[in-house]
Amino acid sequence: MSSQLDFNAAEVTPRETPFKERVSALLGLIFKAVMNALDVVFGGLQRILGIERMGYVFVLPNLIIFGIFVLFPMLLNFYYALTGGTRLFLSDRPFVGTENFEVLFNCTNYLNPNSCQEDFFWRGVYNTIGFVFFQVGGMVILSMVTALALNQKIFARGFFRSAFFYPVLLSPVVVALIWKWILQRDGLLNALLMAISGQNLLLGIQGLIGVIFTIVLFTVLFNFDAHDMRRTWQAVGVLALILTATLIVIEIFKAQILAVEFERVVWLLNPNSARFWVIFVSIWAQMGFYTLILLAGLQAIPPDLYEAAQIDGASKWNQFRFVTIPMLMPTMLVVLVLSLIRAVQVFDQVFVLTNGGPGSATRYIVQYIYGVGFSGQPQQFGLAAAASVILGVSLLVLTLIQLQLNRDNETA
Amino acid sequence: MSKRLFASFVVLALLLISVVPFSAQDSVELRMLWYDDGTESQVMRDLLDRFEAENPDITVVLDVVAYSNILEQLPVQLQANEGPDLARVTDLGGLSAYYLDISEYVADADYWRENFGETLSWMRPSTDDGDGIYGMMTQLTVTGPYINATLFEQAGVELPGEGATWDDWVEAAVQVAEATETPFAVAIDRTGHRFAGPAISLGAQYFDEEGYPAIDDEGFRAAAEMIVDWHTRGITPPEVWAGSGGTYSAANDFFVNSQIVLYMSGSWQIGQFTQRIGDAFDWQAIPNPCGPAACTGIPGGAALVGIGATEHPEEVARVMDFLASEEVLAEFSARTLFIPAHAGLSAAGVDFETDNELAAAALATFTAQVGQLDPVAYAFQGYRYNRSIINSTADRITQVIVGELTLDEAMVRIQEDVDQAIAAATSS
Repeated sequence: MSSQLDFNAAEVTPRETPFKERVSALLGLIFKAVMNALDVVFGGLQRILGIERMGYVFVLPNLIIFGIFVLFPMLLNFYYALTGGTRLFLSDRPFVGTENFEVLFNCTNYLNPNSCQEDFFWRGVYNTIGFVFFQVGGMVILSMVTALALNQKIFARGFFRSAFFYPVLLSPVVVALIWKWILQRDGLLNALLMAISGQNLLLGIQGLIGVIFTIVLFTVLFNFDAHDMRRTWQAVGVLALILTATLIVIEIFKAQILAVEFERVVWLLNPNSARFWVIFVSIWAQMGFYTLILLAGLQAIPPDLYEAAQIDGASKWNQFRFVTIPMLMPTMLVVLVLSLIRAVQVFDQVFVLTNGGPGSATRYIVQYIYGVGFSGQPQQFGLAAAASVILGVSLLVLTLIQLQLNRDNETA
Repeated sequence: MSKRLFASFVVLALLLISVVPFSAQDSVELRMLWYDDGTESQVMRDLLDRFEAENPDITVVLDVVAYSNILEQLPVQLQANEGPDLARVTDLGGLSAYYLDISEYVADADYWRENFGETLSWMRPSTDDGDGIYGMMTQLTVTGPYINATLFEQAGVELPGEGATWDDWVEAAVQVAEATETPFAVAIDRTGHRFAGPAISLGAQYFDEEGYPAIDDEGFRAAAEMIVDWHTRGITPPEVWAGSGGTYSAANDFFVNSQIVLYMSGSWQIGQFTQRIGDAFDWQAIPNPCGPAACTGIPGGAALVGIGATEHPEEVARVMDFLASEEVLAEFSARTLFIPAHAGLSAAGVDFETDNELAAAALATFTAQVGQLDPVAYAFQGYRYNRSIINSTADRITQVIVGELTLDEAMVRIQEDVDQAIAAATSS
């Protein structure tokens, strides 16, 4: 009897709900309640506004944030550009109309910054134009080449993709500091160049030739054709001849190689060298991002097109020219415009790397704005705001060109 | 059981929330914005701890920031009425509109006027305000050169004697650099402030008869040509002037690393050199070299000022009173190796806390310089818009060095920059 009772008790005792399930059920209830409440609100709104206008309701929160943090500061900046003096609050600043713009554009010859009242502004403008031209050009070409290489079935493709993208993850200040340590007087590059002078250079060249020869030899031997041993021996013979010839050439020029001595070069103190390194570092830091975009573009090209081209007898170059390039054009356009806008805004990385020097060789327009508005004394907010307006208009023009090109592209 | 525990936490949290605001109301918190030349913030913290122990109703938070923050961010903060209660500043005249006149709050205004009298005018917003007390100089500085005495000894080159000119010292430094294979002979910090000493010595007047800046004269040109010539000859590290684009740059690292023979800077480097150079080599402060007009450096220094927007002027004045007292200021000067701007202390002498004979000798050299500074140097330091002259000098002479401007063009540009800055500052 008792066992029967126990059995019944075990049958009727409900299984205890696990904690996770209870939490999940509770969250579900809360979610449902919130959704019901929202449904009441939005249902009411829809009845009042009509379904066509509901889109505005959904973009309103973002619009408010955009208005407060982007639109309002832009309008404020525009008004600052029309005021003078050094006071911060608009109420304390005298209205000067277009005086700040007149100061910026007061030049006898726009091509000669020395003839302008605000020569640093024009130096910044020309430096920025030069930077944009070479940085964007170099970036697009190198990103394209890298993306094409990384799109092939090469060894350790995943590793190379990560390696090229890695600098994008670094802060611009970190990038600039790393390269500053490399390029300064007692930096890594000078240390490396000085270390490979004379005897070390000779040893380095000999070692490099040895490594290349070994790799080629192993490649030949591992790919030998058992049915055609003659060809393998021929290849080894040619390699031996090349090696001997190279070693003879090195022996002939041994004295000259031993005499090579690198002197310390202060890479960032020569205007042209500084400009080159600023562009190089910028490309190095950002290239991975654009490579990734182009890689995605390349992978989106349907393989059928290449197959069709191959069937039609198109060479690799023609496939690239008539399939890859046209199909990649929309992505290229995005890359071009994004990098263009970013290049015009160049500041932080260069500020840390060269501080705009030597002289004003790498002082770009944003650094001019920062200098006039913040680091200079007295701080001339009006002049800085006017320069910002000009920069903003330039960016607006670039964006409009992008939109137009996009539209043309879509139409075509 | 767990419910009880939870309830206990809630009660405790409620108690804490209700108690903390009331206890916080008992103490006034003041914020002091500070930058370091060496490690003086540690000394200041010690002194403030002592002040807080004696005055439990006041807490002083010391915000130590980079010097660039004092130059670039503090002015904006002050304009927005968001500044600290006290700040250590160097643009004494430029920020003077925001200082707090503590004369009515300090315990003994006459003590302040007697002991800081000479320098109080540097902080006054206008010349009409003859009695206001706006702060105190935490240290008096004098610009002047240092030499690496060990290198001179190794090279067997005699130190130029009293009355030696800039040319004499530079040529001696070049000889030393060549004999000891030191990379560079001479360097000067990249700022128009350090440049002004040699310029005035060479005859620069800086101001016209009405006291308005007039930059272009033979003395200024001679000094500019001298700096450009150092670069042309390759006897100065180009990183300092040519390599820097638009901001202050010091050459102290080159001196500390024994890469230059003669370094033109100022008295505030003594503490840093004592710590960083140690016994690596012997260094020495030398009297300012001469030119046809004078043998002068530039006086100056940093001041601790109360900020006018503070909600606690009385408490600010109490902190200032404490820090300005002879005993406390003596300790601050002794431990930081700064020359005090306090008349009583200057008369009594400061027992500097250093067993480094080089530091003691350097302090003596700079202290002796104070009485020999040219009147133009004082006028330059006291001029409200001197920062515009200082910045433009550095920018434009750098452009001459790298070939962007000729010296004639640079002279015109400096005058225009200064005119524009003054016009902007006075238009609102």
